Amino acid sequence: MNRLDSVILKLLLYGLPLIVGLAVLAAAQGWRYIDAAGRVTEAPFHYSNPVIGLIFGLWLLLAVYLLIRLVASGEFREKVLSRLTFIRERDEREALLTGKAAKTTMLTTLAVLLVLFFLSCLRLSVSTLPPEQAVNGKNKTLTIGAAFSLTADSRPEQPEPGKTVVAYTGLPVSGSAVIAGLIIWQIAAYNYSMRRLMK
Amino acid sequence: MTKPLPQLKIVNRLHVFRAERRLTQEQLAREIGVTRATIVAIEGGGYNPSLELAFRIARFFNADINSIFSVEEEKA
Repeated sequence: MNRLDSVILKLLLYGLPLIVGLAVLAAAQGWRYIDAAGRVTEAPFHYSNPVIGLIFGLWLLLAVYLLIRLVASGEFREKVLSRLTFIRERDEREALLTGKAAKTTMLTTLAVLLVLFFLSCLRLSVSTLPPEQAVNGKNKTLTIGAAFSLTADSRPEQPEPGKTVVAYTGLPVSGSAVIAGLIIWQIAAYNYSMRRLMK
Repeated sequence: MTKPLPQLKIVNRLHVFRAERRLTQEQLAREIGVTRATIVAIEGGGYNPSLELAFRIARFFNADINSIFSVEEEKA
């Protein structure tokens, strides 16, 4: 890894808490960027604070550079992994353990992804029918289904007839939150399995 | 149908060789370029070294590889 890569990696890693802090601060002040009149809100991420905006922009540029280097260079991937997890491969046994930890991480992540996929497709609702639609005196209905769409569906869900008691239509968290959760999961699962194997 | 193969267990006398040379695990690890944890794992039977590392260990002790590493058939 050359000196430039090393400096950029340090900037990204040590700058991450600052970026997360700024994002939390911005979220606390309201997550909308542009108000109804088309003006930028007072969130600290935007034009109201050019220095912070510049830091954020530079960090994003470095992140793009890091992504390209990660795809292109195997040596760089190994260095990033050792920096992220604080574990280095010092001999053949540790290389073997790294492989086992990577396999565990891959399979547990796949399990988490399958659960998330199932939850994102699941549609479930419990509703109370009007008395005239009751069947044999029973007026509660349970609807279970699955929905899959390649693009984000902007159409509103069709309400069930009657009064809905419980409705579940896919994951209640945003795509960004799911991705952030998966990144944290991968790093934590790799770290945990590597430390357990090294004991 | 293929015949089930017997389970083989690799045993080693690394701790004996090390004791004869009055070497610590740390010293041996440094000499053959691995970590002390790897020496601990090999001696405890928790890790079987690669052929390359096994030959490196044999060469370091100036011994035949079969005198350090041998194979036993595990009883079912």
